[in-house]
Parts: sequence; structure tokens; C-alpha cells
Amino acid sequence: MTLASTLAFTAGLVVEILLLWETSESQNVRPRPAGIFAPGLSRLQEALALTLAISWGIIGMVQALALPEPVWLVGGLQNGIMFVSFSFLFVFGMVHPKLLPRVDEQRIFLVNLAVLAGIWQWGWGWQAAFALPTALSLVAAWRSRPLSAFWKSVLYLWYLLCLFLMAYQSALNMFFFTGEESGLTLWDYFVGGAAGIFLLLHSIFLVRFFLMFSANILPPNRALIQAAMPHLMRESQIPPWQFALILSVFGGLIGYTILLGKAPPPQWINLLILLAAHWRPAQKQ
Amino acid sequence: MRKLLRTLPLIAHILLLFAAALAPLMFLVGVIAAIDRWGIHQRMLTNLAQYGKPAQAQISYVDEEYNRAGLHFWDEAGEERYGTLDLRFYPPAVQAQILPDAQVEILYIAANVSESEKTVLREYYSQVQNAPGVDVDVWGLLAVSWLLVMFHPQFVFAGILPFDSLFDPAALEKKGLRP
Repeated sequence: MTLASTLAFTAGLVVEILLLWETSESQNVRPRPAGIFAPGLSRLQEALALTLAISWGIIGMVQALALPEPVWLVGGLQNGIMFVSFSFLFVFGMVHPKLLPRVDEQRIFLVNLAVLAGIWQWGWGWQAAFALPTALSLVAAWRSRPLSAFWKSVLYLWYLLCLFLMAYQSALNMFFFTGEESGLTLWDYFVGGAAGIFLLLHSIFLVRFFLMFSANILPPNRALIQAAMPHLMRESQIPPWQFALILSVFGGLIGYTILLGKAPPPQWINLLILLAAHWRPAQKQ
Repeated sequence: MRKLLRTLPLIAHILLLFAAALAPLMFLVGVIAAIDRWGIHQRMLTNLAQYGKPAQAQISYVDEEYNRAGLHFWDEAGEERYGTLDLRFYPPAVQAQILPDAQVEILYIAANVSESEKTVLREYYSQVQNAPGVDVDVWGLLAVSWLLVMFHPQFVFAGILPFDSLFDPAALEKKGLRP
């Protein structure tokens, strides 16, 4: 990777971590401190906006100046990313998963659709394997009655599996190519960094949630999974018109995949997954 | 004596809880080990399919602790190379014949790629292709840790549920979290 692409990847990673933090904070009922420069935003939202602006300013400058890129600098930065990322993933994926965005049945269905488009080229076997869970998640998304804790845990496990498949598919190959070899743009690296940390975080949590899911087996332990699911899945759904709008975008992507016979770029899929996970209806005052 | 016998189940329960506290980490380690070994195996098979060449090799040593053998051979360019042979893929009768100085026919990876030091016995290549990449010991670790969590899942919920409610079902009921 070049210095500019490494910085773009790092910026995506940092922005996504801030976004996860902001999403987690927004789910608390405590009032959040207002921004310093923009009182209409929360302080975290302000920090997010500033990080975006400053990081792209630095990336643009590095790209424009085309300075020599010593191997120790780029290598050191990549090693730093790996160390910080793995620490973050272990702490917030396995030990204290407070940054995982709470999802609902609609979002899970949207992620399911995006991943279905992503794995479409894997062959009819995978398409067939996805058919039943996709249909069931659609039924869950349209139901007005809430699901039981058991079915929520099944749906959530499927959601994590979908995200794991996307992480497996990307394999973060962009981390190991130079800019010239990969043909990727700085924006691709930015989205790759953001999506990478999001997907890996959920993939690590998949290991833990698989163990949590095991609590469904013995009746004395079922109270634990019932108590845990509200912390992972929300009851409220996206407003119907917003869901229809997002569904039309996702449906268009699937149609594009099927009609043209080629898979959409992974960056599009990753963006849609991030959109589905972080989309928040405007808060009523 | 009777008091001791009455205390034994409690001691066993405490030890089991201690093991259950470590089980999630054991399971994570097992998953990482399984993915790593599967990845190594798949890379070796992919590179053998793409770059595999036959050669005659001589066994240099047999490492019984790690169940592998070291060998040396001459590649098609006439250069001497060294490689390893993973013995777990082969039946016990074949393993018994893999001794120092024995001559074997191998397939090696004729390119400078990952896992290029690995070789397979040519006669048993299809067997290696069909072999699972993950050892029984890793599956055992996963199974034991999963069983521990299945019977005592409380520690897996730590950090999500309040700790004081994890071990007391009545506390869950008092907070309105009834099954």
C-alpha cells in the first residue's frame, strides 16, 4: 500500500470506530454533551465530522505532494493499524461488546439482501442456501408482532454469519497490495477500512454469540438469552416509507446483479451494509 | 468424613465454574487455530495444484512429537531443496515406512510461494486432498469448551447482563426478565 492509501484505510477505520461509538451513545437515554463548534450536533458527531475533514485534507495533501514514502513509515503505520485494530477487536468484540449497533428485523433483512448480492457469484449452491433464511428474515421484517427471544437469537446469529461471510470474501486483500497493483481508489481504501473493522468486529462477536446461542439448549439457561436479546436487538423498526426507500435501493442492486450477470463491487456491498447498520430515523424533538 | 463427602460436589461445581470462565477464551483460541490450520491446508493444496512437480526424495529425519518428517530432494532445475512431510495424512502402515534414509516419491511446490516447503507423498495425493485441514485435537478443544459453556453459560453473558443477575435466576425474575 502507498502512504496515501494507508492513510485512507486508517481514516476509514477511525471514522467507523467513531461512528460505532456515536451509534452506541445515541441508544442511551442520557443527554449527550453538545458540540463545541456546532451546538446542534453532539460532541461525538462533531468529532466525527472533524476527523473526516482533517483526514481527507491530509490524504489529499499526501497524494498531491507525492513525497518519497520510506518503507519504515508505511510499514510502521501498517503495524500500528494491526496492533490497534486487534486490540480493539478483542476488547469490543469478545470482552465488552458495547459498540455493536443494535439492529432490528428490517436491518437484518437488508444486510441479508446485500450479502446475497455479494455472494451471488459463488454459485447456485450458495444461492439455494440463502433462499430459506432470506425468506424467513423477510417474514420477520414484515411481522407486526415481535418475535420470541429464541427466534430473535436465531435471526441475530444469521445476521452475524452474513457479516462473517462478507469479511471472508474480502479477506482484506487490499491491505497487502500496492495502489498500482490493486486498481483501487483512495475512496475504496477508505470504505475498506471502515467496512473491514465493522465486519471483523461482528465476526469476532460471532464466536461469542454462538456460545450465547448455546444457552437455548438447556431450559434453565434460556432466561439468560432472553435477557440478553434486548441489548442486541431493538424493538422499534425503521419507518415503513424509509424501509421501502432503502429496500428499493437494495432491490435495484440485486436486480443489477441478476440481469447483468456480474457481481457488484465489494465496496458497494460494504457501503450498503454500513448504511443498513447505521441508518437512524431522524429523532422527533 | 460425611462432611467431606458433602463438600465434594460443591468443590467440583466450583472447579467447573472456574473452567467455564476460561471456556469462552479457549473456544476463541480453538476457532482461530482451526481457521489458521484450515487456511494453511487450503493454501498448500492450491499451490500443489498450480505448481506441483514430482521428485524423488530422501527422508532426513522423523519428528515423532510433531508427527512430521524432513526430507531433501533435487528439483527440476537440479538444485537441492529441503522440505517437510506431514505424516498425519497417511495410514499407520505408511507412516511406519517413513524412516531416515528411506526413498519416497513426492510432489513438491515448484515456486517461491507460501507453504512451498511442504511436500506430499505422490501416491497418496488424492488422500491428502480429501483430508480435513483441521486436526482432531482442535475439534476436541472446541467440543470441550463448548460443552462447558453449554452447561455454564453465565460468563459468556458477562458484559451484556449485570453480573449479579448471571448466577441467580430469581434475580432475573425480580427484574421482570422472566422466561
